[in-house]
Amino acid sequence: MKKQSALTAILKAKSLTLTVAAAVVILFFYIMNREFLSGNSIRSIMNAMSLSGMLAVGISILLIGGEIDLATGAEAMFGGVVCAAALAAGMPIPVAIIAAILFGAVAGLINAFFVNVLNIMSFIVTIGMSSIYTGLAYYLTNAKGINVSGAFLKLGTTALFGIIPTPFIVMAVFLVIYAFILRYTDIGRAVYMIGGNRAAARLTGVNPKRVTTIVFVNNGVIAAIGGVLLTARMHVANPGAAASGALDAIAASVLGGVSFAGGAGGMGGCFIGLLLLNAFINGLMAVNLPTYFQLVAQGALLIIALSVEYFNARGRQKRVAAEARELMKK
Amino acid sequence: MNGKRFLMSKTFTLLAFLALLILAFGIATGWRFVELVNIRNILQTTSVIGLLAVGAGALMIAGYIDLSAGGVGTMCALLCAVMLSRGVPWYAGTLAAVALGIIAGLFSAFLINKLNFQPFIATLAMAQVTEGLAYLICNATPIPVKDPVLKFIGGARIFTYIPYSVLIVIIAFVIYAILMNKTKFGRSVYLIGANPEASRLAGLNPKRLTYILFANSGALASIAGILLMSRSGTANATGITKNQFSGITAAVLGGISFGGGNGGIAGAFIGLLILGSFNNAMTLLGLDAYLQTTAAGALLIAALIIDSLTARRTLSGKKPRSKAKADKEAAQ
Repeated sequence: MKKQSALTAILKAKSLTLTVAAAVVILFFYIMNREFLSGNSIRSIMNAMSLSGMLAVGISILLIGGEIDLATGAEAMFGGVVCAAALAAGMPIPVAIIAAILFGAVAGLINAFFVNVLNIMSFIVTIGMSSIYTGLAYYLTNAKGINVSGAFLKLGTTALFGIIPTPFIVMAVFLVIYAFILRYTDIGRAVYMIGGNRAAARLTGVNPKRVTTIVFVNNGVIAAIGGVLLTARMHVANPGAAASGALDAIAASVLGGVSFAGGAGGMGGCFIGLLLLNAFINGLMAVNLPTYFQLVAQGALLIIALSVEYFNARGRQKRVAAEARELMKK
Repeated sequence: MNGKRFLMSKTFTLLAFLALLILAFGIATGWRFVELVNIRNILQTTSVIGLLAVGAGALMIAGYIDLSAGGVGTMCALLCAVMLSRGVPWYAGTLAAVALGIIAGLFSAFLINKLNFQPFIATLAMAQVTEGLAYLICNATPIPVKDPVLKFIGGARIFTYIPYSVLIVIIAFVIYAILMNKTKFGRSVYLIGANPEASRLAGLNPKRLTYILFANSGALASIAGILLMSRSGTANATGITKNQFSGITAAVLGGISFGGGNGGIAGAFIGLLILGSFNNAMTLLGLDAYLQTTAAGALLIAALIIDSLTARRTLSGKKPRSKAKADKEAAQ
């Protein structure tokens, strides 16, 4: 039990640093441009957070379980296309959303099949899947996308108190639910176990392949719901949407303390990672940097996040080693 | 001797598959596929991918991967184009571009060696950075390339038939095949891929080799980008990014598996021909351009499945490669 409390202490300290970093970033851009904290700007940050947040929930859980899905952006986009196509065919809204969710589940199952049955590394097979979905979506929509209209748009365009967008609320609810699942349920603990030590997990009666399947399907479903919300927000299911979704989600997760080695991290840090990421990217626009600079910044931020993770891990190792030496002396 | 015979048989299988593929595509396209003009087209369009396949193949034999080749090559070609448009001679522009490619490769290797990044995520981030830089270099507008020497290299043909770009790629394959099979350097690449720990104990320096191989991948990507630019007469921010994973696909199709330590450059060449034939046949058969993206993804996955079924060993990344090797050796 003592070990666990030490772990939470580290996580808490990490989230504190992260919160300070996010505050500094926000303050910096506010000083550079007062419009950065205007109602519109805050809304657009929250909107951006809603998509990358949904994807980050799924990706965090995959990373904790030691896997990755680089097709998550494409799955979100394709989920949106499925939903829009179903709506265009005259289906009721709930049916269209369920169709998208079903697609997400199937996409997750396909990934899990490759990883579990054929032993292919998840990063490379999901790159292939990403091309498949992207090409199909362009082909099926004639590269133009599918427009949506009517009551469905309320899912994306309404806002609580006129400021907090509905997709953001949905994302926040997902974050809270999954924080609970990860911390307090058997399946949540099983995900940490297979990510931390697969062989040990198996010995304690966890079936790693089953858990892997669950986290992939879970990721596909969450991504598809994210895609549905994006479609409602944008009024169109665009095959070019969410192209950098996987990278954003990975960056947010890793910034938030989810370890790439698996077995560590949680949802609380993930939220602050998201805030930091999206505030930073929106801030670049606020200071009038060219649009394409965002691409560079996203990649650079991912590199920085991973470097910070490395230095944190090394610091921890050094502390443990120092403590061990102390003990040896005694 | 045993290993050599195995490699021969693998090469033979690949060749047989390629022959079957050519026959099938020939029949499907009413023999348009095997016309001389079309074969030249295949060779010319695959020349860009060929250079990427050599770089990716060498890295994958050592157990690494570079997902940034597309971005790096595009960025470097744009640098070259900008320099040319400012009146810099072609060789200086090309050298600068190759140097930039080497720097990008070294940076990826630095992230992997010094900061313990997983190769795929380090290079994925680099892909994003270099693609963004490519847009910034050209401000999202294409730059025309008028340099006569580069246009000659990109477009001219020997005996009005064999394009120079194809010759460059064939020379590259021959050099790297010799380098990998006949030299101490090549053997150390195989050893590191097969068992990094043992190779370190045997006195090799895996980190140094990682720097060399990533620099090599960056340099080849850069040349590939310049080759495409010279052939098409313009450099733009899309560049070779759509061939981002083609080099890897060709290498996997050619029998270089993800675990490292096996496969060969000769196999990658056959893999390249398979990929090139496939892409060309898709165009000849009138497959929608967007569906070709889908087909490229499907081909990569097909290659991975074949690799998985033939290798029959754990590649899931979490288990150390050396363990999979040890299991295999114990079984023999």
